[in-house]
Amino acid sequence: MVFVVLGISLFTFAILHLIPGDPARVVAGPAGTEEAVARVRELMGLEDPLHIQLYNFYSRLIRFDFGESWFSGKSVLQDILTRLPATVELLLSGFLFAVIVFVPLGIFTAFNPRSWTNKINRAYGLIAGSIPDFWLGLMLILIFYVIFRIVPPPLGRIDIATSVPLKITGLLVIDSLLTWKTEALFSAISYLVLPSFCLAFVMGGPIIKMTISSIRSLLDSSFIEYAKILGLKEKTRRMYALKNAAPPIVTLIGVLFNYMISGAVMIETVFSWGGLGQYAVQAIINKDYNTIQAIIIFMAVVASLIYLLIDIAYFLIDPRVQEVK
Amino acid sequence: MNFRLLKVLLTIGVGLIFLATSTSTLAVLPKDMLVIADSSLAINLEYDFSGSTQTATAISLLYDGLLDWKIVYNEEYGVSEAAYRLATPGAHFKPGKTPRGFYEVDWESPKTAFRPSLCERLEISPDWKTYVFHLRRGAKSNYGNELTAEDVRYTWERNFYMHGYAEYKNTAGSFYGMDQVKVLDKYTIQLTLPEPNTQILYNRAETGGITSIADSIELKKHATENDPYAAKWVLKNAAGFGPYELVEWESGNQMVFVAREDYYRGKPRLSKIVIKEVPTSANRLALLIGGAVDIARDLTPKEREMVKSAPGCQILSHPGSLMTAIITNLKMKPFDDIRVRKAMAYLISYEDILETVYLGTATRLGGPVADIFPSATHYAFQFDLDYEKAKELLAEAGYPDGFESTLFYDLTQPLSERLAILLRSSAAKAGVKLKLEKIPSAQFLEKLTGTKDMPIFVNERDMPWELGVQFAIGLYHIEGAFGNFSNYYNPRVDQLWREIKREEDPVKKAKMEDEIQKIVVDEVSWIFLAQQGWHVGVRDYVKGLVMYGDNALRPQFAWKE
Repeated sequence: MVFVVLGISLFTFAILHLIPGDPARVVAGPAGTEEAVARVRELMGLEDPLHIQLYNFYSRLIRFDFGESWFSGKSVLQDILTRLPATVELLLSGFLFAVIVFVPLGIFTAFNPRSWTNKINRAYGLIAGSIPDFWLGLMLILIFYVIFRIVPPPLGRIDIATSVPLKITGLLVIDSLLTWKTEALFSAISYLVLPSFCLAFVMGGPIIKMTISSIRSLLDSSFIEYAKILGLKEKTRRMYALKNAAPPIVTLIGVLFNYMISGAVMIETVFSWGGLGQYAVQAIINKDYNTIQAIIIFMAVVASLIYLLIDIAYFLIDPRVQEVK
Repeated sequence: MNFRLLKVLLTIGVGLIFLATSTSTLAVLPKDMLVIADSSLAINLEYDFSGSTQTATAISLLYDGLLDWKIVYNEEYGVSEAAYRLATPGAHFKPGKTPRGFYEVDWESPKTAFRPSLCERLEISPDWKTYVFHLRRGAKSNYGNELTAEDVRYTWERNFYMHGYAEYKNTAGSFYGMDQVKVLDKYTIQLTLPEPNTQILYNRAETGGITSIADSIELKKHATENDPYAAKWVLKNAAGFGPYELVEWESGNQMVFVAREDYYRGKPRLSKIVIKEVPTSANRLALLIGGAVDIARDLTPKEREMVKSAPGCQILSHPGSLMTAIITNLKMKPFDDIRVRKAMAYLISYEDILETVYLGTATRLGGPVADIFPSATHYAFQFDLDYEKAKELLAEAGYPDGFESTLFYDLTQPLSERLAILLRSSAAKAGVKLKLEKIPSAQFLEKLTGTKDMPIFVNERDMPWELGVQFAIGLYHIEGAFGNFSNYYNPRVDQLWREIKREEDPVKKAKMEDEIQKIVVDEVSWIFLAQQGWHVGVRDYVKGLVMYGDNALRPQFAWKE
């Protein structure tokens, strides 16, 4: 992972400095004189030669210091930690939604190929793959908020007039439960529904397809046939198939979780969520070098960890891997 | 059909709907809290830079200036505006003279355009060169420090050190250096100009605008050897005498301002102002219509139409000073030839642009000065769509078959693309092939003010937000001006600009102002297209919003009924 972080950070540093656009000009504004821009550039440390800037960057990185955001004025690490819970809450809820709804749906469809769910899943799989999540978000807002007025506005994580619960984890739902603030709890959950549904909806298509094809291929396999010949009950045979179908499904879900992180960027922007995704977008627009570098490194580490977790899950689920070990 | 599965799915669906609707979505916002949805938040709090209209809004809440404009109600537009139209010169005096032989400004006079702010009394010498500002006693900053003449002196000194927009404003008012300043006592400061230039008054009269007065005691605490005027600290912090205090700033999410109990004018009506960043304009529209926000800014013309037909909402509109122009680079071929520039001006269908791009919400821009300011002219109306004339000019210039060039625009400006497409189609009819190049904001800014290597581009973001012809010309059309995006230079224009500043005779001054605008338009320094207008979506119960020349919101004047 260290080499991954080093490589990505070096690449990011190079790309950022190659892309045209001067962040000092953004800070100084369109009426910034050359002197004002030069002064701002000096404050930002951009006057230093590139190798000195790179050296400063790595010497801070070793100490987990990502520098200051030129636009928030705070340490980037502090900004990330402030915004991280919002993104985690969104991702977890979207992920849980996708797993709880779409995996069982896929399993049911796989065991009942002639059921009504088969046609729905086929259509859904096609639509979900072609709908952009931000468009879906805007449509849901239009229908459920603007027209029917039955959902909260796309304006953050909690009603503006509701007191935010004491910060323990930063996840509003969990914190509300821990501090037993029911008003905040209901508000936080209600604000979560649409954005997490958007995330889950787009990811659900591949989950269902993989679940169905994985289980079906096992149901047609020789060892399940053999089990049938031996007189094992259908329920038992299904359990065998399910167990063996789990590894590829888990792998896909893990990979999709990484995709969900990038999907969260658009969802956060549409719903003004205030998470890491929206922060990243702002950093890119404003060419906030420190923030962009920090977020990319952070995402690289998270992605690596997720793949590690997938490997561990695979190890635990698949007995053949354990035997090889 | 498996009813069990169906029941499970239905339960999940109903549960979701219940969860989503469990909070009242039509909750009314508290009456003393204003929520604004804007496309972005302030870039920073540096009052010496111009930043953006969002930055100007934030600064206006945190800082006050020496003077303020009076607020007048414009019957034609149904909106309150800063009293620019009274500013000729805008200061009327009490009878008699003061002990120092000066005149004292009569704030109550209906012909006086200003009202006192941090300056309580203003004396002006009979020759209009010396201004004595008597400061308000007891005005405290958000750090509890009392306003003194040292704060004003320090702020002005900092203007010159920072070399930002504030310095330009000072020089536009013939304030060139600190040797013109004299602190007379703890609460009195004198400014002497080399020439009678009333622009200095207009510059001082922006509520928390660029020439805001800072708390020098607090700023000095954050100064360092490398940063003697606390530039780094001021980017993110405010030490001002304004009506609000910034209590929360989550970059990319929201800014929360709380009313100051100890504000010298009394606690503002609105206890809290929340500015939320909502990047998508469709969402800002939805939030306004749904009542989740009180004000929505930066709506597209089409969205404004939707607001007008939504119950409980309205659009406040005013011509404003925000300009749209096509700017050519006079240092790049073929636009160094005036005939080519004129040809481009004849290749634009101005009416089409106003109708199809702005949906009738913008007006034709007549020249370098928006017509909300006195002395604005309409010489730009001489240009209209005329393909034959354009072809004739191009042929004269040596381009009988047209030429190729690249038309740049900022991809974050939603209407720029439509403008660019219209211009490309129109220009093609005369053989001018324009390749469209949309670039991100930061890159656009770099090219606009740094490398200046765009041959032709759409500019929707500029406005001379102070009145005064010489102010607007000095910003954009003088050699060496930081807003001279077109690299325009005419020695006669530069000369006139200097002379206007010192001309005392109003008739001669008016003539020079007329001439300078005519030259700039005739030589096509810019192709002036539209005055986009100041348009704000508000709920019906929001009252008191005022249009200022910087087109920023001034929510400190608002209240909710």
